[in-house]
Amino acid sequence: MAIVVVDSSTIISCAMNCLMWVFKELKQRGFRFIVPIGVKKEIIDSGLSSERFKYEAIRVSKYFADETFEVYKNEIKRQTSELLNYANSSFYIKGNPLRILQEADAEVAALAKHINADAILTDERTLRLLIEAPDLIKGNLERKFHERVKVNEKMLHSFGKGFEKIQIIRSVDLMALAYYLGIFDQLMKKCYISEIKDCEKTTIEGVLYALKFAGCAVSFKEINDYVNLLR
Amino acid sequence: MVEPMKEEVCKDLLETLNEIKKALELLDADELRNLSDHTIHCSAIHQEKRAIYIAIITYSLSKIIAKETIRKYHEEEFNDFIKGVSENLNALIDFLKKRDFEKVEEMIKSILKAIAEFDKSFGKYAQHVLDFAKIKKGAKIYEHGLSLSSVAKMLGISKWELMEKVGETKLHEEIVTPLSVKKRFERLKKLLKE
Repeated sequence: MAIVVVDSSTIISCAMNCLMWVFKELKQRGFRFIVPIGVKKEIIDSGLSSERFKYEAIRVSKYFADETFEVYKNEIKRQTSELLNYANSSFYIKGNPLRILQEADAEVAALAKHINADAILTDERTLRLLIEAPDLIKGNLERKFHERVKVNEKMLHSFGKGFEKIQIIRSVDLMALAYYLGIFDQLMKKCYISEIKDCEKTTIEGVLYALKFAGCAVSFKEINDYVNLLR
Repeated sequence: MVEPMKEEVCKDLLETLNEIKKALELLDADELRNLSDHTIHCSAIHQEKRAIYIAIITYSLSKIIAKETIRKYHEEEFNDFIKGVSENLNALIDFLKKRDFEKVEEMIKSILKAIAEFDKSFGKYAQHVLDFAKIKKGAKIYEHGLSLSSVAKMLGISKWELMEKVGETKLHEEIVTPLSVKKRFERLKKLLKE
C-alpha cells in the first residue's frame, strides 16, 4: 500500500479535466490518498463560493464521500506551524522574509511527515522545490525579483528534515503511471475519432497537456519525455 | 486598528501613485499596465495587501480605458468615472503622505467600488474586471515564487481560478528540476512494488 498525501492543486487540475475517476482506479491498485482537513476546505469551500467552479466542487465532493480521499481529522497544528515558520524564514529580500508558503501547504507537508507517507502529490511548484530541490529556489527568486536573496540555511535545512524518503509526485506523473498500469485502456479501445491513427499516443499526450494547461507545474519538454518513455 | 505600512513601501507607492495619476489623465492604458506590474513586483516582496489592491485597481483601469466602445458610446459616463477616480486618487495620495492608513484603506475601497459599479453598467464580460484583474495579478505574484495558496489567500480568490490562469502562462517552462522524467517515473513505479 502506497500512502500519498494529496494537495489541493492536484485535485483541482484533475477535476478540471474529468480525471477524478483515475484516483478510484489507483486506489484499487494499492494507493491510499489522504487529505488534510485544510486542503478539503480549499477545494470544496472555495469552489462552492465561486460561480465558475461551484459544480466542480460538487463533483469532487463525491470522491470525499466515497472515501477515495480519506480526510485526516487529527490535529497537526504544531507540526504545521513549525514547518510554516521554517519555510517562511528561509529567504530574505532587503531584510524582509518572503512568506512563500501558506498554512494549507505546510499542512500537507506536516501530515506527510507525521504519518510517514510515501509521497506527496502536488502540482504546486513552490512546495515541490522546497522538498525536492531547495537549492534552486534562491536562483529562481533572484531572477524574478531582480534582487539579491539571502538564505537562512539553518531554517531551510530544518524544513527539509524528514522528507528524504518522501517522493514528490505531480498529477502528470500519476496519470502517466495510470496509463502504464492500463487504466486508460478502456478509454483507448473506444477511441471514437477514426482519423486518429495512434490513439495511445494521442490519449496520453492529451491527458498530460490538459493537466499542464490546468496549472500543473510541468514543462512541454517533460511532457514530450513522458510520451516517448511510455510508448 | 489599521496596520501601518512599511516606510519603504509607502515611499515607493507614493511615487507610483503619482505616475498612475498622470497615466490616468492621459488615458494611457499601456502605461497603467506597466505601473500595475511594477506595483505587483514591489508588493510581492512585502506582501502588502494595500499595494496589491492598488496594482489591481491600476490594471482594471487600464482594461476599462482600453475599451474603445465604452469611451465612444458612453462618453459622458466614462468621463465622469475617470474624473471621480482621479479625485479619489488625489485623496489617496494625500492620505498616504500623512500616513493616515485608515483613510488610505477607505479610499482604496471607494475606488474599487467605483470600478465595480462602472464595470457592472458597461462591461461586456460575465467576469467582472476586478475579478479578472485579481486572477491576472495573482498569477504574476505566483510567478515570483510564492505558493498558489499564499497568493489565493492574499487576494481573496480561489485556487481553482488561479490555477486555470497559471496554466496559460509559460512560467513552468522555466523551472529546472534535478530529476529527469525517467528517474521520476522509475521511483514512482517502485512505490507500488514496495
